Amino acid sequence: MPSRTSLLAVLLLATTAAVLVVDLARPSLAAPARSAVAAALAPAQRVLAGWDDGRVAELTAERDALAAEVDRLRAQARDVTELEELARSSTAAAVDRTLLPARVVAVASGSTPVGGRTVTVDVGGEDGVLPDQTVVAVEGLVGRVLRVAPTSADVLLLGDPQVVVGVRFGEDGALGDVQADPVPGLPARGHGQLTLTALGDTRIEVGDRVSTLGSPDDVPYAAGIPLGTVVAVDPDRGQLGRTAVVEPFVDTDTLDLVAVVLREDG
Amino acid sequence: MIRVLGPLVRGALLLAAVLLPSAWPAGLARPDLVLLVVAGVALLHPPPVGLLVGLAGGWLVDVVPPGAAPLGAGALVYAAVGLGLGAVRRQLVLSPVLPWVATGLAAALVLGVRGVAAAAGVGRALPGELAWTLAVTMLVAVLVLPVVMRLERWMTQRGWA
Repeated sequence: MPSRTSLLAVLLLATTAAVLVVDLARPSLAAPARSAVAAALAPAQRVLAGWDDGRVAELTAERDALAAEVDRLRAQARDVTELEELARSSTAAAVDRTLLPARVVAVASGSTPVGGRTVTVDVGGEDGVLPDQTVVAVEGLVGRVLRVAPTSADVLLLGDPQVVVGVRFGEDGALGDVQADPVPGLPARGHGQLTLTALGDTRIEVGDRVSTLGSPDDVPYAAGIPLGTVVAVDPDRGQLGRTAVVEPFVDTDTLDLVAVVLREDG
Repeated sequence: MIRVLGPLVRGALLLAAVLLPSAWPAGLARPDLVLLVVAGVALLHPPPVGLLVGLAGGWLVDVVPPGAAPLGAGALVYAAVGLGLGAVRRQLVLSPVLPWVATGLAAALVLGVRGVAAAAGVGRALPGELAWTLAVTMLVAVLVLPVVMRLERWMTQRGWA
């Protein structure tokens, strides 16, 4: 009897190792399996994430929508004043966005071999969510949609090593990018802090606001969404481009209600 | 036929361990419940049983949303934990504290893999987060580990496992 158990253990172990290799080579092959598990367990996760009386969700959704509207109008006003300079190709004013409210129902385990930052939200393909759509909270950018199942979606959060966001910062809207991993040799980052790297030779000042640059069709990031503020500027240690520490507006550890940015014409 | 019940109960425990963190308050470090279930079973059975339970738990961690990438990495690490704890189980009967200490070492190993992977540029793990996860896991282990082990003993006595 023990030998049968051992045989089964060895067989399954070998299968797991094989799957690991295949998944490293072709991550997309696992999508149907992940989607099936997500569809099966979404109701349980939704229940476990807690009940609410709907009113809170409704008001929060309204607040998020209004905050997004304010952001959009601000971006629009800025665009108008800067139009003559033929400045930026911001899509914020050109695109009407709708926000799909969502709740975080599961958070990635803190003990997996490869540390990532993902959460699951309770809206999915049936609600119109597509991979690579922007996810926001009332404070600002949360991340982007990674995988979509029928009734749930996995969101890659700001702070995951795979997330690199093109941004504008400062008064003049200088260009740069924000990511989690600092350049080697720079001072250590605190919990949740990100690294801003300026494109070009623009000076970065403490207190500069950082917001998303945006991409064509809002994929993966819509334009003009507040991301964070610069809290410290790194010394010059020979890194390419000036770098600074960004404190994001959204605390991804305490996420609850978020919204997926859908395109009106999409 | 009755021997199917044991694995079924273990599967249900693992599923609960994967799903329950959804109900954990946001912002608090989450204990590694899957590791505690794997340890509770592995500490009472020969290594292959621990390995199988570890594999199952790791697979659940990998595929239950939001899941983890690459698929199978978690399964291999938890399988190693189950195998290791099963191998040293006879040395741990000297004191009731030793299983808890061994489980703590196993949790540290799992988190260590995450830390080393992050240091090597794969994924991201901050030392503070790893330390908090370990501390909370050890704390919760004081309650959960004896319960799982008692259930496992009870099932073994009844011939379920």
